[in-house]
Amino acid sequence: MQSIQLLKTRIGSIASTRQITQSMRLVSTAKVQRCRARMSAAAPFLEENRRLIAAALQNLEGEQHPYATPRQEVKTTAVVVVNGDRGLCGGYNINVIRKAYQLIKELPGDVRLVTVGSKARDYCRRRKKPAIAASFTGVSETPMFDDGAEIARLLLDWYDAGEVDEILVVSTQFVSMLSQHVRVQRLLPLDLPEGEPWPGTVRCEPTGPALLSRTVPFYAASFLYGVLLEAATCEQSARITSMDSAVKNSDEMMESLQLLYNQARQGAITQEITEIVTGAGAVRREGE
Amino acid sequence: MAKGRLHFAAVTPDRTVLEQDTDFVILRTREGDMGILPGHEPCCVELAEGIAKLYQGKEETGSLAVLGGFALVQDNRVTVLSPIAERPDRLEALLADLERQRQEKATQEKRSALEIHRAETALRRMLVHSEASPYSVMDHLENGAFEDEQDEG
Repeated sequence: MQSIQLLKTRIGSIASTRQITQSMRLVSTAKVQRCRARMSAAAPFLEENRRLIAAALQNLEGEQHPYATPRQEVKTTAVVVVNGDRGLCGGYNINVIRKAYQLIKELPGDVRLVTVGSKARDYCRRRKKPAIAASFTGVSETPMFDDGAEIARLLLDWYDAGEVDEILVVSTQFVSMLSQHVRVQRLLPLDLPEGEPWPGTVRCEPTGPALLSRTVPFYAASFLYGVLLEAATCEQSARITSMDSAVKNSDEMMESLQLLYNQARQGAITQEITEIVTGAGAVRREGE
Repeated sequence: MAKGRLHFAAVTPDRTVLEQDTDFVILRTREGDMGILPGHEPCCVELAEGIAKLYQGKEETGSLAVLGGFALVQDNRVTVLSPIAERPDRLEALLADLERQRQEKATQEKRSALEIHRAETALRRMLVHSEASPYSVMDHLENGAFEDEQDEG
């Protein structure tokens, strides 16, 4: 009897877990669609931003600028780890964190850690080293341009003050609904664009280094906004995938447990019948 | 220089606000107003807050409130990049909407933090329950919860 009850309990708890994972999958499906729509709506903006920065870089015409020229010695690197606020999305969060720590290990100088999302913040806080210099939460689900601007402002302040010499961003790249890659991108100093997107001369207002100083804050904000948006999409699609397999697993488990339960139940009934029949036989024999 | 028409597009982080062919564009830059005709040389300018105007011949066909940003001109393509750009009659609505989103997000953040805290507390309590009495979950199931879920499955 004991094992039947235990089986019943287990089936019950798996069934309720399945219900939760099922509804989380549905919610994520709706969210990922919204995220993808936002991503494609933002695509022209991000594309034009790259053109803008290319024009500004080209306009430098070989002049030095702190945003474009790598510093001779990289003493401190700012590493931005873009994560989610919530778990239950498979390896999404941990993959980014793992990559970030691998990167930190390889970096020669000091590291200033910036975390986006409470998962990264909590994890890095437990690891203690390097200490978190700044953390942002509540942006990963529905990132807005202002969120990107806020992070960009902080990073640029550090960069301008010479506190950091390089800014790297570790985030997830959306390849498809089923595959996402962790990638490291360098925000500053700027990488020169490949080829020449602006053939000939470009007339700019303001000119030269002044233009770059004006465009970079805007570019950095847009860049981070793009990264956040992509990360949000990845988080949701990672959640769909992991919830999908959770639902499948619980179906399988429930099936096998149900089989065991039926067997146990049948066994108990058979035993009971045997006992009754034996009992009745014994009574009859006594009567004879 | 290549003549023809200008292709004007205004892009913001959320969407492409306006995209149309036009003959003449006036933009408010930091240096003052700037007129762009087809065949304009490639340029990149910083915009001030102002209204961008589009003309078809002499007739004004569209206008756009642009709150800062940059404009790119290349091969008869005029692109305005701005954090906020909207048709003047809809600008108020847009700003109100942005403010609403911001507020909603702020409250949501607070709410979700509270909800997570509540759920964690409930979970911890539940764990104590199940540790103290191995049959408490059973009691709950005997009341029919189990059968209901089976029916749905």
